Amino acid sequence: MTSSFDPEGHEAATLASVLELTGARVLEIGAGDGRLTWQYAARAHSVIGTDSDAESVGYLMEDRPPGLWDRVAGVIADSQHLPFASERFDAAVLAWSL
Amino acid sequence: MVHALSEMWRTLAAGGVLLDIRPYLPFGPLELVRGPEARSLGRLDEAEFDPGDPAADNAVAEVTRRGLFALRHTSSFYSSSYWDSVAELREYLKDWYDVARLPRRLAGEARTALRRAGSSGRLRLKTYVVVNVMRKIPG
Repeated sequence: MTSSFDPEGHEAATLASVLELTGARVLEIGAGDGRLTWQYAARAHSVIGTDSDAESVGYLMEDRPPGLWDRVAGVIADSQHLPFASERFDAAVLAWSL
Repeated sequence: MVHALSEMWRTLAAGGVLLDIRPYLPFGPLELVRGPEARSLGRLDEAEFDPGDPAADNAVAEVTRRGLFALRHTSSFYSSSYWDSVAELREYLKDWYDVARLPRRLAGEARTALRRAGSSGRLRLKTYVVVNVMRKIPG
């Protein structure tokens, strides 16, 4: 490994401690390549990760672990105009993107 | 930002939760880490950056004032990033070019420190990250 982000797992631990995402329909804004997504997606009902950068969304889709193929989807979207129906999600995560 | 938060309010079900995770910059000092030991090498050039993110804070305050969300909880943690080379650190900092740059002098010191540390040496930056948990107030 040549570089690593938060190998101590402080972000995942904090996320788990402040928000119960088990069974939740989650919208993640600024998901990028899914670095944060993979830390909670396994316990969510479903996750839609959005990013305005098409390349990042491509990485998110390509990097989905096999067990999450039907649970995580990436969508190219601008956070100012979200292409989703009203009241569709139980939780929204702004991942370093506000 | 207020419009984006309003969009999130719209897409959340009644009682839905918004989690706002963001770094409270500036970065900590650039460190050389070798095993349990860490040594500061100096700070990035962040002269043009105001600590925190006043614009984001104002946006959160505005949607709270409008009655869209209620702040329920705030937490924080330190996130550490590690690199094996100055080139990799530079690549990472491209995403932060508007707030932080690696001065040439510090880059040179980092290269020297890595060379002297051998294969176990790594560069580290710590970021203080703030987490706001907000609950949607149904309209």
